Amino acid sequence: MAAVAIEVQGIRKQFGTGKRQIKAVDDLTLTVAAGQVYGFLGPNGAGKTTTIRIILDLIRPTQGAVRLFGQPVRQNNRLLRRVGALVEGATCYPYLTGRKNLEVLARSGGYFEPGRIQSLLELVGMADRADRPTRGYSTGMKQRLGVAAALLGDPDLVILDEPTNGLDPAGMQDMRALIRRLVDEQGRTVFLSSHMLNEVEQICDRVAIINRGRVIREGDVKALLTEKTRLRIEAEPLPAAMACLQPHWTARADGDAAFYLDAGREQAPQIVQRLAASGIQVYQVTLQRQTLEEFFLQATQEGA
Amino acid sequence: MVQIFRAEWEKIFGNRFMAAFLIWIYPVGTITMLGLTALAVLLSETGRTAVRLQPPTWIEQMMLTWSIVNSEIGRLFVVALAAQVFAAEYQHSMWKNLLPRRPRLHLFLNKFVVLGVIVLLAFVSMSLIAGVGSGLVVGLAGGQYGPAITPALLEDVLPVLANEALVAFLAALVATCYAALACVLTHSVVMATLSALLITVGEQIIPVILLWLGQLANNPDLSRATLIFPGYNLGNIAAWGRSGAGYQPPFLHSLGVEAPAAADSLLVVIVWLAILIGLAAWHFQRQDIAH
Ligand SMILES: Nc1ncnc2c1ncn2[C@@H]1O[C@H](COP(=O)(O)OP(=O)(O)OP(=O)(O)O)[C@@H](O)[C@H]1O
Ligand SMILES: [Mg+2]
Repeated sequence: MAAVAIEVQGIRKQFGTGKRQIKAVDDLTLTVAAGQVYGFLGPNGAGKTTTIRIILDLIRPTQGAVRLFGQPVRQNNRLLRRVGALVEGATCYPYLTGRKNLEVLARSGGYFEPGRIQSLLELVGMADRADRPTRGYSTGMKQRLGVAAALLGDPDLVILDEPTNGLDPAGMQDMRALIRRLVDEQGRTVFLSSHMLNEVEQICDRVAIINRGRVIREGDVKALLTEKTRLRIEAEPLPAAMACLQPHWTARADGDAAFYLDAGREQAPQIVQRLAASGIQVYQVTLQRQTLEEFFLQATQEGA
Repeated sequence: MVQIFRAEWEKIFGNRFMAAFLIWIYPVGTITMLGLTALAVLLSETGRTAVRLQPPTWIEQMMLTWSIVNSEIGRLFVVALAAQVFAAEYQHSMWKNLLPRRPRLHLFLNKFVVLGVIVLLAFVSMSLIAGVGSGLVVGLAGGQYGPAITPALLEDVLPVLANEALVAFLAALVATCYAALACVLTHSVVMATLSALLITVGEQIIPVILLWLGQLANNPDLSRATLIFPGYNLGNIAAWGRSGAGYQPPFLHSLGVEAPAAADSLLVVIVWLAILIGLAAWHFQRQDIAH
């Protein structure tokens, strides 16, 4: 069995009391195997950041527990020293330069090394701006610095909360390539939260989709994507065609000449036969893979 | 350990504005005062004569700085510095970046250590600058600066100065504790500074409140409770050092209460420090870092 980096077991977290009470995380369970990019996908307010804070022992869950590398994380700081994290928007001391910010964080962790800081600054493309006070940094610049800060301690597990937030398109591409390299070339594990589907689709091996504090789907990104397919059928007359199939499958019109049918490849011959038997003209039948976006919208609606 | 000490140190001195107003002000302020006095001596005949006829002693000058540090105004600077140092992590949302790197307790207690060292260096440098600089001013005026340093004199004076330094340091630590506690509760520099100041000042009027309560309750013995607060005990340690007798304000005298020995007062202050630091650390340890 592959090594396990993160195990989250039935965590709950409530903020506030009485009527104002919010269930930020509601019985969430996850297992992240080491050596992959694991996506944590969910809409705003789904509980991604709260979960990450609980994993990092910044917040105590109301219930449940987190294990990292097989050991409970609570009050076990030695374990967290193998983790590097960027939580909810990078922050820094505004009166210090970018480089000084990294130095201070590295010293706080006891792994200060000027050479490593320089190479991390280069890695995130901030070397030429590192000696300016971060007060004048843009959101994207702070975000890059935050990713460098997460890597300071040479962590086995890198937790990144919406790492491409505020980056320009080129910066996003660089960041995604960097994240893949952390896993493919350096053998780390990356746990990454995002609400951007194409991002998860591009770089993640596995994904958990969460909504309202619960995991609603979990699995291999490619498998999840091919799990649900549909047929797009061009036929005439359209109302009759849909009426003929609707008792058996869900149909939804796509313009005046075609409709979608929730069915798989194996069912295509049977469908064509039915249509032909009813005297309907079939012009085209295509198999469509569901995009992660549709999948996500559907899954979050089901979960609601 | 050296590394987290340096990290805190660099954070504090990297905030130049704060360091200028709350740390550098001690040595630089003293130098400025000396400079102004020197100017007065150079430019005015009366100033020169005054200094020449009645030159201050270095003992007076060094003691003067400690009494400034131990005044309410002096305490304000320490409280403001401590509040900045503790609340900065909340203000800039930096705890989330720091806590996964070290046990919470290490990071928290480290701040006390660094603040203690900085405050001590600032106070001592201020006292030394005043002692040496005043000599230069008196020299400019053509006066005699004394008394001459002999082993016997040092034996008399050094313990007194050391006692002043001890009281100033302990008082600064108590103020730091109030600020730290206020920071973990309020997460804000302004709120923490204000509430810590309120406690620091409030502590000075505790005897008055106790006296008043005692009169209300027709039980003057209530005033005895003054003896358990850090403010009284710090005053008592200082009094023993300066005059060889304990601190006995009239209301205690009238109750026939003897001032405790300096060592007992020291113990009370240390117990207070332990309780206050423990309370702040305990609360911080179990706090959710949600911002
Ligand atoms: N400190 C807090 N106090 C009260 N409520 C909170 C707190 N932190 C989070 N919440 C609530 O918990 C829920 C989950 O928030 P969380 O920040 O975990 O979501 P998220 O998935 O990270 O969202 P986003 O994509 O916007 O970052 C939200 O409803 C939020 O309002
Ligand atoms: Mg978030």
